[in-house]
Amino acid sequence: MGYFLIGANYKTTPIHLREKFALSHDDSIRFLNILLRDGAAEEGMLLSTCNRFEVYTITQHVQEVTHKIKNYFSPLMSEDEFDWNKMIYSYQDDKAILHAFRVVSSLDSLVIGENQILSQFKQAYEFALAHKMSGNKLNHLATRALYVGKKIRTETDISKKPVSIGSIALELAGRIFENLNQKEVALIGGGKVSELVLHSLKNKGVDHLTWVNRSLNKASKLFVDLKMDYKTYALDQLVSVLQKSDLLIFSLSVDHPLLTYDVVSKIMDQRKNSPLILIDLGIPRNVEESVGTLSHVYLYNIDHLDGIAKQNGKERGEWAKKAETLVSQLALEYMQEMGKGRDTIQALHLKLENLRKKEVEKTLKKLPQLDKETQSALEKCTQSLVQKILHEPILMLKKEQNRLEHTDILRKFFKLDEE
Amino acid sequence: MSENIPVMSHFVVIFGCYLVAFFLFCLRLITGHSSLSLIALRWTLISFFGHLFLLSFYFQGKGYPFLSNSFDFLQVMSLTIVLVYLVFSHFYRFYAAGLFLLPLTLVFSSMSLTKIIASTTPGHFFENPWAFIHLLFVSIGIAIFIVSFITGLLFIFQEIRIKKNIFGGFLDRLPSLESLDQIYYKSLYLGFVLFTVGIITGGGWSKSETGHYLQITLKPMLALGIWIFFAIFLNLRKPLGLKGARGILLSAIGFLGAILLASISNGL
Repeated sequence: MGYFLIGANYKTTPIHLREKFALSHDDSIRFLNILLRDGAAEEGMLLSTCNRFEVYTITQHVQEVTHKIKNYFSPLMSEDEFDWNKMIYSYQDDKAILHAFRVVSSLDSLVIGENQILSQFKQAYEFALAHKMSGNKLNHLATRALYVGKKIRTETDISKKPVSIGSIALELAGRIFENLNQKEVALIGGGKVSELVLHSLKNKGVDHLTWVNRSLNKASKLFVDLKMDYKTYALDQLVSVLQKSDLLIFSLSVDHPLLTYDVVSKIMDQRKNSPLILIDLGIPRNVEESVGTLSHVYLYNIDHLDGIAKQNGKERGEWAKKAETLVSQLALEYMQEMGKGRDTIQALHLKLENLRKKEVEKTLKKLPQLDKETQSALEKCTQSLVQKILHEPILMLKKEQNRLEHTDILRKFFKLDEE
Repeated sequence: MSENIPVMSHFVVIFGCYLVAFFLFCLRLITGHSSLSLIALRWTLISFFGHLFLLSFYFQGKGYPFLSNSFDFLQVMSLTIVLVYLVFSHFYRFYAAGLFLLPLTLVFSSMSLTKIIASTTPGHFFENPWAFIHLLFVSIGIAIFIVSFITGLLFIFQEIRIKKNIFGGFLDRLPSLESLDQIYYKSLYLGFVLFTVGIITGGGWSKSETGHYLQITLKPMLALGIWIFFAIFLNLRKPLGLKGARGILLSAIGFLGAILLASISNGL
């Protein structure tokens, strides 16, 4: 009975097919129940994110589990789409352990070093636990994988430097202002880039902002979804917004710059040189480059942000190499622990069983008058006794915590290495 | 001196402790291991308490008026710099400033250790009760001015890095410009208040020694000039929008005066 993992991710499967693997809460329970039905798998856990769909199982029947998964999803896709061998990857035992550790450490993520996968894996584990789909073995793997994920993030700087445009924009703002949620933030323009920035702002704790756009009718649904308070202004009111804002993020498509050196210079006098951050994500640029030369004005454009993203990505790549080594090491340790634990349990069983048999034989020699029923009762009684003696030590070995230590103690205590 | 008074070798040990803390900050800068920052900060804290403890013992049993020589004055200044640094590190992400402030502590500390023999002679006017209060406030006030000045320089330095899009390294661990600005002005106001008390008590000392509150000599005139400069600067800072680098550069005049005053006071 070993680990078996089967899945599809952003590397193997395009988004329109990955969407079909996304299961609702109830469907996830139903799906796992199908896998566990008839003993095909003993335990199961489902990790489903926008970039991956992975099923972790404990099974002896790899073919059967694969077949069940294939049968479940094939009706959801057309025959042309359903190229199983191309879309799906699977790993067993040691490779499954290593893959799980790499996933949680975000080494297999689209954005290396991202933190979301850690909480997604935790949620998947808690879901399986809550619905009694996971047992001893998967629990071990999941708790250890989460431990590895945290260790990688604390021992390397893989997650420290942001790589998304939104996060970088806010990191730059953080070099000037300590708390963005106490500042006046204005978003100039709508569109995809604004949405990314808006998400990052929300994550930073900003819950209110000013929105300036050409068309005010189209008050973005996103503000409502993100539960953010916002005031709207027309584009011709930009100068008055500039007077009272600390951070302005531009993403409009314009023919001429919206802000010129003269305009901002005048505003800065009125603002009594209160610092002003302008992040220009628009192409063509929304703010004249010379504005950045003004005192107390900090101007960044998309090229600046892109340069930082590349630099941070490169640094993350360097850290990823170190993280890979660490993950392999931790996976090896885990495999050794598992192996040693398993060997110890077998050795314990064997040792006590041999002892039991010897003692029963001795007793039966001394008591030849015993009838068959009594002899059988004696056998059962001693077997039960051995099982009861072994119950606690084996439970201890199956627990994740201090397994290696416990294994060593038990091996010494029962002199398992002396024979 | 009684046998219980700490000998100079103890102060050398404290100097060594600060030196180790400084090397730890340098190591953090070179290796990039973030855990070293915390170790360096904790080591600085331990060194500070050692220094405080030692100076308290020294103060109790030295047999001549405390602060009546350059050794005491410079030791109090170096201790104050570390104290202010630790306090701001507690409230702001200021620990990276250790790389710049600890060398100052080391400079004052080493200067005091080399001046000890020449400056232990007590003068009778140092036994005046006004003297201790005046010298204590002036030494602490000047030390805080110096911290403020270094913070101001860090602000300018950091602003240049931001404007030029320079990233990476230990200096990214400095607080935001907004926080540096706050630290700068908070320490400047605090230094100014202490310096004001120092000037008032100095007047009291002068009155009881000479019968006049103010003498027309270089030291009191320079002190008064510095006080007037900072009083005007701090009052006009907001109305004139003297923020950031412009304000810091202007206030540098006052700092140079304060350093000159400290040098004259210590006969340097």
